[in-house]
Amino acid sequence: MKANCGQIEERLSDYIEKSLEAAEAQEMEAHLQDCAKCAALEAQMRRLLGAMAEMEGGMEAPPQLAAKILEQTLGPRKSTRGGEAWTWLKSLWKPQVLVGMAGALATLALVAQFTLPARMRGNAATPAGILRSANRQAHLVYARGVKYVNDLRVVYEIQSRLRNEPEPSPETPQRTITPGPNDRTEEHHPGHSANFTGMYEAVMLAPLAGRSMR
Amino acid sequence: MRPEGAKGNEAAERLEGDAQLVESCLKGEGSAWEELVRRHTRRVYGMCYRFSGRGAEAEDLSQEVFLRVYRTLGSYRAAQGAFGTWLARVTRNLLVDNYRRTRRDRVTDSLEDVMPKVEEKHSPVRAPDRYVEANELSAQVQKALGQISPDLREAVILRDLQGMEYGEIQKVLDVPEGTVKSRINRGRIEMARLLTAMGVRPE
Repeated sequence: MKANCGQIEERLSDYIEKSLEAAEAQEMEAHLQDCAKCAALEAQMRRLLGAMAEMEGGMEAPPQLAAKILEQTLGPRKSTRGGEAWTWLKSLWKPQVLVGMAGALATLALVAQFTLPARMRGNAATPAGILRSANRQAHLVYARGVKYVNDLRVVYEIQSRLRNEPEPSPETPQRTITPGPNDRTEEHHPGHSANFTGMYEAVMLAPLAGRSMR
Repeated sequence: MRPEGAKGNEAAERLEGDAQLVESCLKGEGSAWEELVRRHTRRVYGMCYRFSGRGAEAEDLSQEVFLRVYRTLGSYRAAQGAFGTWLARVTRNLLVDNYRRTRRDRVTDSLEDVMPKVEEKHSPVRAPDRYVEANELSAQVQKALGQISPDLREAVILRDLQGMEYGEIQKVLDVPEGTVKSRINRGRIEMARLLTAMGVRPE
């Protein structure tokens, strides 16, 4: 029987898809009952076909793919006609704007990180403690307000610096801020990443410098 | 194995719709092209992904396919067959071109895969593919698919992952039906053996 294992293999798909003549199918069945090797192959092919039938349905294209294709083909034609909404959206997609937005997000995340834990500190339950903590809170709120305004100023500065990167503005300080780390800070938790130190210094030291001038 | 009747009707409707869309495209209607792209993106991407095994590459290839289709749409003749078949043929030709073009890179890649360097490739620095297989078996099937020769691979993809009939595959690959059948059978056998070697147990 083992002599025609090769022939059995050749007709295995036809057998599984039931497209063999009755006599041929019987011959296959007889062989498969006697030959463990061919029977194992048949079982594995059935398993493979079952798996592929499931895979066929589960495949989805990435959500932006069709849009990318359309932009690649129709896009230029549309922009020459002057689709205003479209060109406006496209202008947002420039790297400078994206980097600026990433920077702003990172800074806001940092500000949030430094203000939130302060609010969560507990008060002592004694009258003196409450008074002290109220006093402290008032100062903190004031200090935080000052810092927040300063931080916003820094964010604005960073953003405008990044936008003007090809042509550095005259007031650019000695410290340069590279867009690289800013991109990454969106993904990592701020403060825990080594890449963040540049940003951290820029945000934390700039307000101090501003204060000492007063 | 499949509900042939329902599938046939759907295919007939689609065929008519596609031919009309192509006609409108050639008259310069952007919306018709948009509809054609939206209808077929999934299928083209599926072919590219299954053939290349890499999400990012499949995305690039799909874009290339539609760019080629956009430029050569005028050469499609509805009388000669369904648009889907023509599109599959364009896709297949591009996949084969790309395979030949990048074969040298692939050889280097597969050498690297054997070396311990493989650890580096899975470090978090490398962007992960967007498409993740639904389960371990699908991942193993995809891996096996990548290990058989491209001739067998494309035949198995068209039949078992794109659900095409033998006659249609014959038109896509431009080889006789007997060749199509034997390639599909050979591809399945090789894949089944690869699965066994990976430790997948037949049911």
